[in-house]
Parts: sequence; structure tokens; C-alpha cells
Amino acid sequence: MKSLIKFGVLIFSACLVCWPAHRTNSCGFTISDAEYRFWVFNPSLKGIDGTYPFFYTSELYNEKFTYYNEYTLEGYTSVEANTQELYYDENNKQWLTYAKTLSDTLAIEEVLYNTNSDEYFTLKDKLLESNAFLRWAKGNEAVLNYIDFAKKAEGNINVGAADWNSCFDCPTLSQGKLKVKEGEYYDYNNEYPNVRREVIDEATVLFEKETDPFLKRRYAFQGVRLAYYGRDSASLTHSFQKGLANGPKDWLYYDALMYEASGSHGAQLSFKLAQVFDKCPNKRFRCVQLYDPTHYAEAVMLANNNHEQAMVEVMQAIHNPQPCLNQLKNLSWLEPKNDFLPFLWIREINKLEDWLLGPLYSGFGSTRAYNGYYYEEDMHKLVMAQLLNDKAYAKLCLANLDLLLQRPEMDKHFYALCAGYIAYMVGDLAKSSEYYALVDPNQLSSKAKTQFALCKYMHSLSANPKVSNTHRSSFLNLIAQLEEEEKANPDMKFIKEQLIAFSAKEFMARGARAEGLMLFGKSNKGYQSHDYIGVANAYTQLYEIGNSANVKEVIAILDKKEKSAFEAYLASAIYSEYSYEYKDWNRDKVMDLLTMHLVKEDKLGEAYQWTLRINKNYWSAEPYNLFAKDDPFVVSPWNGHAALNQSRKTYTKPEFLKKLLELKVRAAKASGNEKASLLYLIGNAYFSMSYHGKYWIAQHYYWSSMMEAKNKQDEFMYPNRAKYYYKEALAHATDKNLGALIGNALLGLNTGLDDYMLSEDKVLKWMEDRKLNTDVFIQMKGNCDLFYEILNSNAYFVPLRDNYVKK
Amino acid sequence: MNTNTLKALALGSFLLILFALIGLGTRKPQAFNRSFYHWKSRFERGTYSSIWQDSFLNRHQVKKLYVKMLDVDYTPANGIIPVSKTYIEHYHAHDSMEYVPVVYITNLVLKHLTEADVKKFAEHFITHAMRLQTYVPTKIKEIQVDCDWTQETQKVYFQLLTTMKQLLPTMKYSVTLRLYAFRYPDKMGVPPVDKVVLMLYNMGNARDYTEGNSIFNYTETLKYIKGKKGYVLPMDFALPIFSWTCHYRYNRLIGIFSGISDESFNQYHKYMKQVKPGIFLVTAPFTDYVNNKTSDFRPGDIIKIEKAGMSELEQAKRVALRLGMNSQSTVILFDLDEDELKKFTYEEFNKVWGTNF
Repeated sequence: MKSLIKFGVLIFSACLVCWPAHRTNSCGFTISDAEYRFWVFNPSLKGIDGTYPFFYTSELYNEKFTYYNEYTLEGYTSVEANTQELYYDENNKQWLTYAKTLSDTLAIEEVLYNTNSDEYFTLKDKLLESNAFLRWAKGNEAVLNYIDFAKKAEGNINVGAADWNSCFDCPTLSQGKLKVKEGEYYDYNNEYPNVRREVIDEATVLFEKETDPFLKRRYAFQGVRLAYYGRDSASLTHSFQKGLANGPKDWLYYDALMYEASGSHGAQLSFKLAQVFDKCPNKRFRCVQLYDPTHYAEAVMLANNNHEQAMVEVMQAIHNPQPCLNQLKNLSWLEPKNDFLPFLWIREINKLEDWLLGPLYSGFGSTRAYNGYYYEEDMHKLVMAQLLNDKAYAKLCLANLDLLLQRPEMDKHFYALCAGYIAYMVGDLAKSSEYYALVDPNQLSSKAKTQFALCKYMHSLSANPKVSNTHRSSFLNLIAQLEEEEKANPDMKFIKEQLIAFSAKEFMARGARAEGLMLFGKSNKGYQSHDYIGVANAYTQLYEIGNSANVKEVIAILDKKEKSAFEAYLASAIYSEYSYEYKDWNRDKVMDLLTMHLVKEDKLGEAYQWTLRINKNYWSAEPYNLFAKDDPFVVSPWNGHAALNQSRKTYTKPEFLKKLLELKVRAAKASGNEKASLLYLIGNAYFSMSYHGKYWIAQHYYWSSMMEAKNKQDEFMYPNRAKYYYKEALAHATDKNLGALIGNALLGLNTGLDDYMLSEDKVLKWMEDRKLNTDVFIQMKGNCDLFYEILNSNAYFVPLRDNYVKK
Repeated sequence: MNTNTLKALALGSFLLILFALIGLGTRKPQAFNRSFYHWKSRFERGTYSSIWQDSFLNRHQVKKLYVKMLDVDYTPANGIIPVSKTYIEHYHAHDSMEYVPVVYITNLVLKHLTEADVKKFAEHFITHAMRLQTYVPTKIKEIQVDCDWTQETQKVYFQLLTTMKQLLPTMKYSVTLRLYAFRYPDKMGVPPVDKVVLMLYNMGNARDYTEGNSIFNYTETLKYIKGKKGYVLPMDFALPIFSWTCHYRYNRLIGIFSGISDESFNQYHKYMKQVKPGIFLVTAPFTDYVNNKTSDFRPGDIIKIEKAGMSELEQAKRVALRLGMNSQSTVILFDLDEDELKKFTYEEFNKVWGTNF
């Protein structure tokens, strides 16, 4: 038994040690990294098609390239061109050049991409008449034969059917007898080929026979594709080497190289993928998925020129979610005008935003991976140390950008914008201004102009101790601009809402607290975590970080008749609770939040007056309907938190506050046992309003089991005020039954609250000091049968009896 | 006989009658031969991932499994091809289940099957069906061909079946029978096989979303069986326990999904509005990932959910009973799909399989 206990203690201790102190889990769900990562630097500023999945800001990025599902990329096709269409464009151009007399691109697309194999062969006769491409092909038998074969190959690959004879586990049938294959066939890799052998062979024969170079290369391409899906590496290599390896390095070559690369391994594979990545936007994602960065050293040795090596550096950088200045330096040295260099710099800036600004503006901190889990204090140290490291890294980036800015061939305005923003992130506002001064907005693209305006706004807000009207109007202009751009690029919505969250915090830090609080409503980003609902919203912010004065200001803005443009923006619809939909501000809820602040500040009269301004229906709706059937002035002796819903009395919040105020007035005038009983009821009301009580809604917006640990200083979290009134009540009680009742309440209602109420010994001493008979108290705390007799015997117990003792 | 003897005899007779009555009352209700269609691209038994399915079959004493082994189709580019061969993984060394491999052939195949090729393809179908024997310990005695033949293709179909029988005469052959072929044997012919399985589902036109439930329609079924007692060949019965989601664009059926769970579907309610029970109009674009591929739904698309629930199953069973289903009959439920099976209780399955109705 002892060893069992030891084992239990050991497991429990291990759980305590391992329990993570820094988590982003909330009530039953986990928020993904990308969802709360802070970023306002547009990742598609210098967008290159097919790179969207590798944006540091992309949610997909977190999947480490092992999983691809198009629907995770919301708005993917809006942010960049459809990469598949780019691939079609290249092929169309080649056909048009080859055909010379043909100019109808749509006719080519109709046949090649918009008519599937079955349709092609079914409708071929009609298409030969109606389609310009096929009409032209009809005059050239070799072309038509090629198209027929390409469609046949497409049909075979799409259906994924092998030959009847390609069956490794079929029995043989001879003269009415069946001979079943022997052996084990459970190997997962033992799958059927997806292409018919005869079609692969046909491709080879047609390739050999064809004399037209244009068509010959295409037969070789079909041979490569068919052999790839038919798992025939020998035919694949043959078709590629004979038909494509020594020809022009166009899309056809690189597309085929992707299939050919599948037969390579290690550095060879990585090197080939880097080259395909460069030329084929539609294959970029798959290239990055298959690329193995561990072969870097060997892969660069395979490069024949700077560009090929630069592409290996690009792949290394994309694979690296950590600082990759070294790759950027190599790339700048090898090929300063490489198309991917600006993209990778933006990606580095997005990382720095996450690492440096994330801890300030995201309620979930940066997405920096800290090894293991730590307790809060250790985590804080770790975050601070990492922040210093990241700032040092940002300065190294800045130094490198300085070098780039000195090179005449570089885009000075773009890199100065990047440098200015990095300087801002490290807190060097003066240097940031110097860089921004180098930027001529007229030399920037329209996207970059918006980015520049955004960066300048952030800079200006951070550089000033107060929020000015210029800031307000700049903010509104930016929002309008981002909303305009959002139509073409859904990512701008992210940027807009991050900017709002940034502004909310900066406004609050600069004294514009009410405006800041209202701004939170305009963003659904993770600007603040919340114990109960995961991510904070405008209402939780009004309660958690606002005070009564701030909330009154908010109400004043909402009620203002002649609003400024900024105030009108603030007062317009916000993200509602529990959803991502815009809804109008709920004024009743805001006023109720104000009454909660006022109750906590013990301004009961003012709180009562505000409750009267709230629509009466509000008190019968959720969550107040959950509290409607209990009497907050009566507390169960067994569990003060329990709402037993047995009361015949119903209280709305105004009624509750009104009665509490009345009790206080009456108690002030009364004396002796009457005073004691009134003070006892007041104590009950305060107990009910505490975290342990059943009417916490009076002063707290949410109740969560996590609150207790986090709010140790919160006077209302623990029933300190109840304790005060119970003590006062006991001091005036002379009746032994009343004394017992109050004593039991002081004991913490048998709910294990003796740490901050009073222990049994102390209560007994208190009662003895006041010469109170302790017999009934002892009976009561023991919950014996006599307790019920006591309840029925004395007027002081009437409320308790009526509420909790079943008749 | 004295009074005591008479009393003893009376008591004895009473007890005898009582025990006989009790005996009758506690006799196990007779059940049909329980069976399932396995209609997936992977056939697994005894493997880690098939635990639920195996335990279900054992618990319900299912002794016979019809396993789809092959889909045969015709494409203009490739002719008659095996478009889907079932991948098999089977670890039961002492399995006592009776397996029947099934070959599904589209009518298009028959349209393009020439007399000269019948023997070649008959052999392909047999050998591909009998791949199953490579993996299962029990001896396979029957092959089933599933095909919705027409008057036009009847001749070549029957020729194919006859040839199969000639190629492997030790085997029993069965075919599936649609209601139309059941109703009009004079027009559709009687297939040259040992047995038929009457399919009491897929009777409507799923291509038209305005039509009723295409999986099972009781009223329609009654029209086909009116005045009929049975079929000229021994007949088993296939009943539906499945649901599917039909996707229409411009009034054209563009997709049927069998893998959308209720939970998955519910999350898309905000993108659609219900126009009739089970029929939804897409009002905002959304994408779902079903059957291993992404499907886009656009505003204006129609989504129709069709189900064969307990009430449809009971109606189908009632039809089968009218057609002579008895304790010798095999009742094959379509199909062995965990998600669908979990929609029914153990008792409901017993009710379906029990001869007491």
C-alpha cells in the first residue's frame, strides 16, 4: 500500500512539474500559431506566384510543408495568380508559335485543358469542325495524332487503370481449373501500377518515330509522365534523357524534370527540386515539400552557375523558420537581383514582427518555440532573453540592409522601407526616420505605398506621448485603404485587424483609454488571451482592463449625437461575443459592465442608478436568467456556490442592489440581534457576489475555475467583504441560534474556505469572547439532525428554511 | 384408475402442456442468413484498422460477405479497363466467413463488348474476382456479377455469364437483379446463372433532385412487385442502409458523396438554406474535403441528402417478405460502412434480420 501511495505521489508530482505554465489552450480548443502571430508587413508586397504557402504569416506554414489541403488557403487564388493557369499560358505560347497561323488561345485551352479524355474522343468529330485549334490540327496529321495520344495518355493517367495482365495476385485459369498464387501479398507497397504498359510503350514508339522536334519533345514528355505514374523508372529516364535533357530549358523541360527528379535521391533530388521551384510556379509547393535541407552542402556543389546555387539558397531559406540571414547574405552575394530575395527579406521581417512585436501586441506572445514548458517566472526570463537575442539579430539584419542600400542595382526605396521598419521594431525611432526619409513614395508600387503609410503611422504613434487628431485621421485613411485592398487580397483583412489591435494598445498607453478599449471591438485578432473564452473581445476588455471611468467615457461616445468621424467609426458595429460577426454595440451590456465596476468600487447607489437605465428585458435574458430564481441574500450552509433554484423569490440586479442598499440603511439604525441579523444578510449578499458565491454576476463578467489562481489580490474573488459583515454581525448577536448561524457562515460555510474566513477554533473563540452559547453552532457545523429542528425553531432561520429545507 | 392416478395424470398433462408452451415461447426466433456487401477500394479483415468492423460482424453473426473486387468501365481512350481493383489485406488464418467476390460492370462495357472478346474478358473477370481466394482461407464457391443490363445489352451479357460458367464450371454464379428486370423477365430475359439477388435500392433517378428518394421509394417498389410472387430463379435480397449527398449545378448532377458525416454537413449550414426537407440551396461559396478530394460548392448549387433509414429498411423488408423471403434467404445489407452502421442500434439490426416481423 505504501508503495502505491508513493507511486501516486510521484505521478502527481511529475504532473505538477510537467504541467505547462505557458499555454495557448483555452476552453476546449487550441489556437494555432498563425492565428495569433502579429504581422502588419504585407507578405505579398513583392509577391511571386506559388509562394503564398511559404509566407511566414501563412497558417499553412506551420504544417511544415507536410500537409497540403487547398481549403486551408482561404483566398489563395486572390493573393496570387492561379499557378496552374501560368503553366497553361506557357504551353499556349509554344503552340501558337509552332502553329504560326493560329491565334485562338481559347481554342487551344478548350481542347487541352477544358475537354477531358472521354469528352474529347466522344466529341472529336464535332470539335474538328468547331474548334480552331483542331481545325488547324486536322491539316497536319502528325499534330492530330499527337493530340489523340496526349488525350489517351491523360485518360489513362486520370482513370488510374492498369492493364488486365498487370495483376500480381490474380490466379491463373486453365481448362476449367483455377490456380491460386502462393505467398504473402500483404505488402503495402505492392500496389498496382496506374498506367497501362502498352500506353507507356506506345509513347516510346511514337517518340522514336516522330521527326518533328516540337512534337518529338512532347511525346518524350508524355512518355515521362506515363512512366512516372506507371512506376517505370527505366522508361522515365529513357524518355527524359533522349527527348528532353539536351533541349531548351523551358517549362516542358522543368515540368518533366520534376517527374525525373522522383528517381533521384539526396543532394541530386534537392538540387533538381530547387531548379524546378525556380521555373514552375505550379510545382513550388511540392518542391518545398520534397526538398531535404540536410543535403545543402552537396546540393550547392552541383550548381553550374551562380543562379543555380542561388536557388539552392532560396530553398534553404524557405525551409528555415528561424533566423536565416546567412542565406540572405549568400543570396545577395551570388545573385543580388534574384527574384526571390525581396520575398525572403519580407519573410524575415514577418519573423521579426512575430518575435519582437508579438510579445507586445499579441495576447499570446511570440510564436518563438521555447524548448519545453516552464513556470511563469522562468518563461518570463526566457522570453526576455530571447527578445534580447532577437533584437540583436534584427540589428544584424539592419546592418546587412545598409550594405544592400549602398548597391546601386538594388531597389533602394523598397529596402529603405524594410530597414525603416526593422529599426522601428528594435525601438530606434530616430534611425527608422532616417531610413523612411530615403523612401520616395512615388517610386513605390501601390501595395508598397500603403505599407509605407502604415509603417509611418505606427512610427508616428509610437513617437508621440499623446494621440493626436492627425493620428486618428491617418488611422481612418489606412483602414479605408486596407479595406479597399482587402477585395483583391484577403490578407489585408489580417493586416487591418492587427493594425487595429496595435492602435488599441497604443491609444490606451497614450491616455486615450476609452477609444483604445472601443478599438478592440474592431479586431478579432488575439490581442489578449482570456481564461474563459480563449480570446478577449471588446466587452471582456472593458471589464478586464477598463475601469468605471473608461466605461462611462465609452457610453458617452456611444450616446454622443454629433460624433467625429473617428467616434462614428468607434461606435459602429464591432465583433460580437462568441462569433466573428459584426454586430452593433450592446449598450445594455456596456452599462451592465459599468455597474460591475461600480459594485466592485462599492459605489452601490451609483450602480443601482445605472441598472435602472438598462432595458428591463436584459435581466431576463442570458446570463441573468440563470440567476433569476435564487435569493442572493440566502446562502446554503453546505455550499455557498450552489444555485439550488428553490427560492420563491426572484431578484433582478436592480432589485438586488436596491435591497442591499436598504439593508445597509436599516442595519445602521438597528441594534442588538436585529442589527446582527441584518448584517448577516448583507454578509450573505457579499458572499453571493464573491467567486465562491452564486450571484457573482453582480460584480464579475465571467466565472472560471482559472480565476481563483490568477486573482489572488482581488478583494471580490475571496469573500473578504462577507467576512467583514459576518464579523460585525457576530459582534452584535446575543441570541445563541443567531450566533450559531453567523458563526457557521464565518467558518466558511463548510466549504473549505477557512483559509481566508475563520477556522473553527477562531470562530469558537470569537463566540466565547462574546459570551455566546456555542452548543447550537457545534450542532450546526456538524450538520446533525438537530440542525433541522433549530432551523424550524427560530425566526432567524426563516429565509434559510424557506429556501433550502424541503418541506 | 383411482382419483389419485387421475389427478397425477391431469397434473402430468398440465405440466407437459406448460413446458411445451414455455418451450415454444423461448425458442429463438428464426433469422435470415445475414450478409453484407463490402463496397470499398480497400478490403481489410483482421487488421488493426478493421477491429470495429470485425467485431460488428462477429456480434451480429454475419457469416457471408459479398466483396466488390473490381469495377469495370469503358473509356474511349482505353477501352474496357479495370478502373478500380480492390486492395486486399487479410490476416485471418482461421476465418470461417463465406466470401463472394463481386465484379461490377457498367452497361457501357457491355455496349462495347464484342462477341469476339467475350471469352477474353470473361477470363479477366474470373481471375480478378478470384484474387480474393489468394487471401482468404475459406473456399470461394460463388462469384457475383453486378450489372444493370438493358434489352440492348442482354445478349452479350448473358453470353458473358455463360462463358464464365464454361470457363470455371465448379463455381456458382449469381447476378444482381434490378426491379425492372425482375418485373419484366420476358423483356429483360432470365440470366443464365444459379441465383439472383434482388436489389431493393437505387431505384430512383438521382439525376433529378426534384424526384423523391432515389435510394428507396416504397410506392415505386410496390408498382414493380404488384401481382408477383417470386422469380424463376432462387432469389436473395439486398436491402439499403446507406445515405449519400447529391450535388447539382445547373440542374445537373455533378457529384455524389457518401462520406459526408452529419457533423461535417452541419458546419456548412451557414452557407446554405433549406428549400425542402433534405434539399439545400447553396447561398455562399464553400469548399469541403470529401472522398479524398476537394469539392467546391457555389451559390445556386443544390445539395440533396438522401438516406435509407430504419423506416425505409422496414419497408424494403416488407417487400422482400411479400416476394417469398424466408429463413433460407440471404439478406445482404448494402453496405458495410462504419459510419452508416453506427446510425442503427443492435436491436434494429436484429429486427431487420429476424424473420418475425
